[in-house]
Amino acid sequence: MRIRDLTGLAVRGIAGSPFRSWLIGVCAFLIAAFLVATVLVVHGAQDSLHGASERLGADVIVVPRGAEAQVEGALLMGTPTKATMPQGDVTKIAAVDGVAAASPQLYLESLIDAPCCSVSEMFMVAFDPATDFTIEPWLKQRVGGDLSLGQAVGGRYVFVPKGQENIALYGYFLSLRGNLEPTGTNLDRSLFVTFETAYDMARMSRTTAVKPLVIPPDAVSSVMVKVRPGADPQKVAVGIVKAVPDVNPIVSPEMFGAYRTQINGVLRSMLFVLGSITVLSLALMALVFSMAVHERRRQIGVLRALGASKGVVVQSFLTEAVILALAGGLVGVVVAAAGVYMFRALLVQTLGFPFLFPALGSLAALIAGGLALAMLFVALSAMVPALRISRQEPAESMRE
Amino acid sequence: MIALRGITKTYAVPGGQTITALGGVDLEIGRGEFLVITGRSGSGKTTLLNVAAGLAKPTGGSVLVDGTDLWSLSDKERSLIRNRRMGFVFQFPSLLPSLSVLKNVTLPLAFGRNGTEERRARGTELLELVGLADRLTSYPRQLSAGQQQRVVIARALIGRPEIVLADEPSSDLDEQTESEIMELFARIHGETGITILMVTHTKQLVAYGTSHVEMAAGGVLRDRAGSEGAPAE
Amino acid sequence: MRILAALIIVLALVIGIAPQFSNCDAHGHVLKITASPMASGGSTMGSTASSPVKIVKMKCLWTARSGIAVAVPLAIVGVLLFISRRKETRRALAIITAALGVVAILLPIWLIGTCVTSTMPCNTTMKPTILAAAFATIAVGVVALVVNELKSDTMDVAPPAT
Repeated sequence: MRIRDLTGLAVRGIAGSPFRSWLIGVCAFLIAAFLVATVLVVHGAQDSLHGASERLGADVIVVPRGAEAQVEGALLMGTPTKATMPQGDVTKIAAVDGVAAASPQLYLESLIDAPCCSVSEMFMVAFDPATDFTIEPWLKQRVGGDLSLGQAVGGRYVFVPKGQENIALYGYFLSLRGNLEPTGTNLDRSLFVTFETAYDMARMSRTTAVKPLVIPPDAVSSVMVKVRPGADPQKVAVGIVKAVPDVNPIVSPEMFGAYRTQINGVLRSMLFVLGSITVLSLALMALVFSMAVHERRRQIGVLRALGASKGVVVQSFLTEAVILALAGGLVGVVVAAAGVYMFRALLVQTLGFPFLFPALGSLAALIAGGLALAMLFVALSAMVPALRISRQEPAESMRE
Repeated sequence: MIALRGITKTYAVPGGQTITALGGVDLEIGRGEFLVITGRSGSGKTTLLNVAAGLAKPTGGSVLVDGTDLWSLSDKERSLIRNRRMGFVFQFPSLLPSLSVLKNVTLPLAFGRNGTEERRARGTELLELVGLADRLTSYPRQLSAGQQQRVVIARALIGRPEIVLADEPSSDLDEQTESEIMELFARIHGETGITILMVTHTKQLVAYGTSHVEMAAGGVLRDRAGSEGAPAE
Repeated sequence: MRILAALIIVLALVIGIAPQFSNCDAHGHVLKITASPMASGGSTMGSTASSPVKIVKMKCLWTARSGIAVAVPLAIVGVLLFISRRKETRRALAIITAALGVVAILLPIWLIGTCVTSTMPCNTTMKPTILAAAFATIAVGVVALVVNELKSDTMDVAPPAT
């Protein structure tokens, strides 16, 4: 039978029972939408963590013992942390066997409603340009030089307010040299300044600001460590603990462990919901197709008598299933993708972990995958009743 | 044309029992014959027609169409034989409600390789033959029972079949419409010489055929009793 | 068609009501303008000791309120579509539905807008809600138009007797 005739027959079958067709379409919509939403959220969260790890560029992050969750929270979600360790630890860490570079960072107070930021909270991070290996290379590549006194580099959401030339904080003027790529984490609303600029700002704020910037003396929040090529980061971490017992070195793959656990938790819940919806939808669709086949069994018997083979009967039901799956699934994937995109900020606030919406290429692959799976499930649910009726003797089908 | 040899057909029913619809039937349907099979309800006449058409598999025996055993072929080949060489008229309304009259008539051609224009021309020609040329775009629900049956007859002839199998084609119709339908069958048989196998419980309709077989209790009671002229080979 | 009309009424309620609870003003945020030459915008931490502060309504509040101006006619269109039988009337109502959807999209994006800060409630909740409802409104309007064109008129007037 020609494709056109098969499609025509299928379309008439769909139009012949609108309620059932809507039901199948809605099931396909639900499967596709929940599948795409689940993958988008989890993929986006994992991408974001990966991006943040890459941005930090460290093989090992050394934090004060007991402050791992606080430091991860500060870096990813902007929750303030006051945990610090002595600056002297930096030298000890740098001397450990296998360490190629060790650079300290200091997380300063979060700023609320800062005018220079398109987010309500902003984070200031002080770094040491002499030892830094994360921001400096980016600066050299993009901006063509180091940060001097009074200069800063910002995450994606940091900008100079309209009509101004500088960012004013604590009565101090900072000039913004550039913006880093987005990570979907708190790093996007961080302002990076050198230790020198930070101390200068603190000193001047005592006279110029309503509330002065207080930097604890002789303190750093974390030390970023790059290991020598060929060295085992785990072994280096062990060496660091031996040299400085009051710290906890976090090796790169274990970075943001609490958030990875949280994401896995959300993934499990979403997979449970997805699984339930899929199973229920499959059962409902199988029932609907069985009812449709039973109702049309006489018609099918006539078609068989007129010359339709078993294959044609199965094909016609599968065509119906595919058309409905395509229609419902397409709407489902578009609604899911658009919904996650539009509500991504709310998602981050509600779920409590970072999120980065995938690039167009990944998104297209995801959407295609979601649609294909929805079509497969609908086709499967139509297959069994279709095969059963096709195998029945035409005379039996036509019997009252 | 169609030879039925030792045909038996049994059905299993809930409770473990079996029902014998046909208990060893031998029958030959000759080319150009208009054979009318009569019998009461449950005599096995409809089952015999279904077996002859390949719509039901016999439990025993063979069905030969011009010497070929129908049940030695694949389902696809059997479907092709039904599509190309047979036409069907059923007792119940068998038109597809979502298709127009013309599309219903040309439906068997959709399983073949005929072009759209060719189908349309042939369909129109047959609807003219059955007196419904003005109802091409109507839908089955807009036709009377008699008109619907005329459309079914046109559909049965669309593929230029060698045999038309009709199962109680006029039982749901009033007397006048019934005789109109039977006149149509007789006219078509007279003009084209097509083979017709018709099953009915109405003995009065035997007169329209060229030969008659009576069935009872799953077997042949009288073979071609009182019919004029021996069936053609 | 009645189902589509009911959908339009629901969407009108979403566009009219949801923003009233999800704009920044409803969450207690205010915009403080300082007159100090050293700072601008809303920073109270970086300003000098004696700068007068003025409290101003944020523009997302106006976006939320103007949503009502779209929601009310949309709801009326929904009701009219529910009761209407004439093909021409339904066609016009479907087009108006889509047009109102477009206006609803323009409100938070271009006509009035929302706050600059992307983590404020108006941007995380209000704007995506309005946009989602607006896109859905346009889709429903288009579907209603298509369905209407495919259907036959149920108010065919019989020719006058001669």
